[in-house]
Amino acid sequence: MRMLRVGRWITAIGLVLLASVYVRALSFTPIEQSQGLAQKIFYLHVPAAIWAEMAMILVGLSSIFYLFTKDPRLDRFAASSAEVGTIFCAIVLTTGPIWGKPIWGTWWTWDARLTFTLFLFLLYVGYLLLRSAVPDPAMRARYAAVLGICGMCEVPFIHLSVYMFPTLHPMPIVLQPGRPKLPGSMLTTWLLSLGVFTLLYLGFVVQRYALSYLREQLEAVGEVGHA
Amino acid sequence: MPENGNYMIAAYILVGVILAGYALSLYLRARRSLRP
Amino acid sequence: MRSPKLLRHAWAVASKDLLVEFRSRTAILSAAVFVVLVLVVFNFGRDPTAVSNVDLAPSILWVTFTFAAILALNRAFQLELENQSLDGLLLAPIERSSIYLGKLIANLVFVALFFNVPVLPYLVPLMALIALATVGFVAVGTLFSAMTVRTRFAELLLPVLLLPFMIPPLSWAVLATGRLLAGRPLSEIVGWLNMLAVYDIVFVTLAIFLFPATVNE
Repeated sequence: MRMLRVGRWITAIGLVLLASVYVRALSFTPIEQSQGLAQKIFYLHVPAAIWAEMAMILVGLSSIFYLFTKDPRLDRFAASSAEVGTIFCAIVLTTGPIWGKPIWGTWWTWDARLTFTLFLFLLYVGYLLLRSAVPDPAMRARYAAVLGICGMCEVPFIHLSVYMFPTLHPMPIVLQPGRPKLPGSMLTTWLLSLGVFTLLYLGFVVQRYALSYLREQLEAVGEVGHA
Repeated sequence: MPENGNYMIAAYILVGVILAGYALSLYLRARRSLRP
Repeated sequence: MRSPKLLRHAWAVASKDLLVEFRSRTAILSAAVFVVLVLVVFNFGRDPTAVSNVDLAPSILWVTFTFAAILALNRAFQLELENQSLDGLLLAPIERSSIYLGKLIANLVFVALFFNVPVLPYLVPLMALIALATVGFVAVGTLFSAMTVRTRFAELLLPVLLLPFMIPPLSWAVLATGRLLAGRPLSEIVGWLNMLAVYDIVFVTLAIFLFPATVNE
């Protein structure tokens, strides 16, 4: 199946480039003075966070279009973006505390940003659970779309909270009004990493989409469970 | 400068495992669907 | 515009719901029991010398609120499904949105009955907070319960789905209540009231538009 092959290639390239980002981040990027080596987690944590949120927004957008057009391709895409988004969100939630422990002295705090990232994760899990709880494909797609749209609308409120609460979480230094405060070499590494995560998101979603399609074929023939 | 390289290593390994693991999961699931 | 008709039908649905609940009285009873239990637990759980009532009050208030809201939401749609009256409602010549609004109003009144807050000086802003948070919860909750009631693990799924949507309004409400009961000036609370209001407007509007998709046959 061609789409599957394309997806696998993109993912493979992404993983290879990920390795190069690793090398660059670990050996060829300067160490940040006050935080030490642990700061380098930033190069993985932030791009993953960006795509974790983007994926949810894309789930929402495709859900809106699905409700208007009832095109199953949009539903397949939504399901795929949700699954991939969950993975990236898991990365944020694990690398965050690992970074936080040496810097702030604690694995977890119920500060706004952390809490809401946790709840982004719960949004994803809820979405996947809802999908698995509805056997009828048309109803599943409709319900998932409703939840997806609500989830997407929730994201800005999650974002806004960073600026409302006093927090341990560092204020955004790359995505902020004005020029990024990150010095040259670090910025390059970060951008490279963002590119890799973008590629991986694409590769994963394409593969997951193809998988959805394959399963639908099997479902139609009466073979097995769920797309 | 603080001595926290271990955390960095742990995080980098973890991310690698998650991403490679997910890629593998996708590969295997598709393969299973292709020859039921 | 079709607003007046929408509201009239919504009111009809709401009054029907409320009437049914008052007659059965079960939800009110279980919620009352819960409130008492919470108060007792919190009271005996704290060290009176270390923790004052004022510190705990926001938590007690909003824990109770959350639980009552979830109970109310589950019951509303459960009853409908059990009696298969949802089909009856759908056949009746009223718009789907009216059903949603009606249930929303009923749930609001329901949840609003479970409070006994002994803080008169702060009553108005507190009522505002409760009202705003209630609208937020119930808006999303009514929408989701319409979906989950038809799924497997319905009772388990609803709270799981609702959780991420309840946290923002809930945390704003609790923070604001804490500040309020500690005697902070109103100007500090206004920010949170605004956030809650925005949240409500967004999600009520969204829910009204999305509700038809949950009951389409």
